[in-house]
Amino acid sequence: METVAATVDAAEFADWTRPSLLPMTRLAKRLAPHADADDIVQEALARAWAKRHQFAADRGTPTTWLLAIVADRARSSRRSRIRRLRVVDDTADLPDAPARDAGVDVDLERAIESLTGRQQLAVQLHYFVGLTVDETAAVMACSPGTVKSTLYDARTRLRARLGDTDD
Amino acid sequence: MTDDQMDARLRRAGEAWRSATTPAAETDADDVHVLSPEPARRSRRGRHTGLLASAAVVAAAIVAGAAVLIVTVGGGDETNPSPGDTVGLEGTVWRLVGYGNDQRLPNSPATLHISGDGMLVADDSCRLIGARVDVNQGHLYGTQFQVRDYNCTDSAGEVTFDPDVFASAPSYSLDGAGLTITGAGKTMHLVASPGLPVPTLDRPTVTGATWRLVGVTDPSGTELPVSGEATFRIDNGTLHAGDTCNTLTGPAVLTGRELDTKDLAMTEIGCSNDVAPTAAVVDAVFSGTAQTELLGTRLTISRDAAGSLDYDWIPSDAVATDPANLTGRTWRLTAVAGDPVSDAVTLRVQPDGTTTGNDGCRDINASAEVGPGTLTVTGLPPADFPPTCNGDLAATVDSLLKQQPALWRISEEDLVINGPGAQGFALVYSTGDARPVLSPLLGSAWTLTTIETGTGPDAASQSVTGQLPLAVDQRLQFDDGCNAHTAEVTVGDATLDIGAVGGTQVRCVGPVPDQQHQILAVLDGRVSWRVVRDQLTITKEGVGALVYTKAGAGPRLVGTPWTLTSVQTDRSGSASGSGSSDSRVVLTLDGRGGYRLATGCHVYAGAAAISRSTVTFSDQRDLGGDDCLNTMAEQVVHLLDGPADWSIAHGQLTVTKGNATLTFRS
Repeated sequence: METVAATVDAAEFADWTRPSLLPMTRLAKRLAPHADADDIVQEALARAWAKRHQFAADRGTPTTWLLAIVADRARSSRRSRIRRLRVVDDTADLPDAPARDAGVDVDLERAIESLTGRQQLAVQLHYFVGLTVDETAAVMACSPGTVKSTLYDARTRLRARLGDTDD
Repeated sequence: MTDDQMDARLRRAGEAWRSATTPAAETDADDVHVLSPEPARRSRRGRHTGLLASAAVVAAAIVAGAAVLIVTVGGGDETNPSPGDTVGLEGTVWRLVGYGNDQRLPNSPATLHISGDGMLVADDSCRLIGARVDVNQGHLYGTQFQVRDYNCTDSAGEVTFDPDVFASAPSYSLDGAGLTITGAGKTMHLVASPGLPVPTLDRPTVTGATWRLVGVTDPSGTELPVSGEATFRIDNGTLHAGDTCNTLTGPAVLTGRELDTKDLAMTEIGCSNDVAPTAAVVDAVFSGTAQTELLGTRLTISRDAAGSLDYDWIPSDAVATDPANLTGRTWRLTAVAGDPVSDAVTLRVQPDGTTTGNDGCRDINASAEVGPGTLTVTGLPPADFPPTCNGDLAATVDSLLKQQPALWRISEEDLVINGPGAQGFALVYSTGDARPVLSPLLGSAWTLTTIETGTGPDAASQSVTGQLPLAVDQRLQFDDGCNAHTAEVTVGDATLDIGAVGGTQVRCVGPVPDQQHQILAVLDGRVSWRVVRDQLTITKEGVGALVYTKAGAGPRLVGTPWTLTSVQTDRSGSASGSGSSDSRVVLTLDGRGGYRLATGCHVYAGAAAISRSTVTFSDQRDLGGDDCLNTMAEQVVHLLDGPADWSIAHGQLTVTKGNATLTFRS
């Protein structure tokens, strides 16, 4: 589907979004590990429905468009959580840290959290969600060159961060 | 560890994580039955959902949930989103139909819209209300309110917005296609109305709009010449006006039609003899209590024994009101005042003013004068329609087109035409053109501003020597600073296929040969193109990119996203600074007395009072964001406080405060 007409019905829209659900869920889990990824994806889908006429095929694929909305929703979710933490000094009821357990490169995960917001987004999209550089650029609304340089900066920072604890 | 090793480690980590989070039954997602006969409730899982939950199950629930939400937004479903839910609130045009238990007015032209970035606009036949809102926990927390009056004489029988409700941090709830907002002891009832245009603050009102001085009459009735640019604008009770020589700034109180502007401060530039009489009248009109009269897009301000001033409205959004986006297209009417139209009603305005189409009953053959945001149609015959056609529709179309002038704007690719009152009473046209309305690659003249070479870490930008135009129409025509070229071109949605390039063959000297080589290297074969606002970027994969600006568009202080490129500090003659071509620090002045600074980490907002050469920043607030560090941004955040000088030259904005200079690119 090249565009999403305002007249598209719910079933068509669901079909249209179906191939993107897994990467959307993955990105939500990566960007907002303390939130419910399902909720974030649902909010993103609802927003996508409301704004479906704004999708422009010349700016990216449906998946990259939907992932951009997920990234925005995840950011909001993170802000809400920060506000909650400021008000309520009780983290016992909050979800556990992400399942970065078995087989997970814990040092690397910690180092990623030290990156800037855009560096994290680029790393998560490219390495963890598995997008190409061009797809990552479409999500981040920048050029592929900017993605490459952002990833390069991120890797440089990660190397510096991991230098003391790594091979 | 080398960069390659870091890259490999990240790839391994990513693959391991994807493998661990990919359910075995992933492919089952294709078998999901999306819409069950009984609409499912929106899934609200506990927050402890296992990370490795089946993607197929997740997909099913999500899609079913979305389907419920979709029905909810469209209306008719009985799902009740929780009060804290924002589904459908933002991005929807809501029609105000009544208060409390009062009778509902289903055709009310009063509309409300809250954008995704929290800008609230409420519009009715008498008033235009704007605010920033934070949608949180089922409430609307508003700041930066502005209430602007239209020139309405009678709102009897109409329902209008009460600003006190918005100012009371009202609660809201969504119910199907309905929205209820409760505050200040009142309850507003609104319904989702997708056929209505999104209301805008870019309207000709006395306050909150920019006006250009076009006529000056002295106390004896003699018209004086107006030379140079002199504007008038009131934001947040502060007047900024030019008298064609000096600038006046100070408190302004508008009560009804009475404008009180005494005690203004004024610059003290010596005026030449040819502008002094005009400037004296402007100064005299603003030295006390004056009367305002607003008729369409003409504002007249007069004061007894001082003279009178005529101003024409200048829309803030130059792109949405650029006549080039209106003319030369056939527009088909899709809605009138929110009601869908099935009749074949069309409008076409040629650049020379020739206007054709159909109003639903008869063909239109008229002439029109198109200005930024204004359309003055003349030559429409009197309303006398045959009984065999939809005379009501034709009469409405004609009456809106006959306004002198009608207001128009491009809103999300649609053409919206209305009068100076309630924006909901509008004609909404769409175009069947394949080319996007607001991304006019074709038919526009472009000027090269930057050449980008290389990609990734090796990417570099360089400025351009000379004025180098480019145009894409039937052929590609461009200049490399030394020679003029032309080539066959096939224009795709995002690509250009450029044929053999021919042109003059003048021998180049100085820095031009390098530039010529880079331009010709990019404009070769298949390239991609993208237009964002007034900027065209043509990219040749693996080679580089050329960045062009729409000729004559010129970046404006207001409305342009300015990206920080350097911060320079000069202490005791010793300069220091930092710079980056991709600082991620973007400053936008909204033309409504506010500014927004996005640093890539946090977003800040505040007030910005703009005059001819200074901008005064105040009331800075941190709107939150990510926990990250951007050292260039830190400097800027502290500098955006108090008055600063500004100037724009060669596409760059320079803001100087004390010994610090910030440079931005558009």
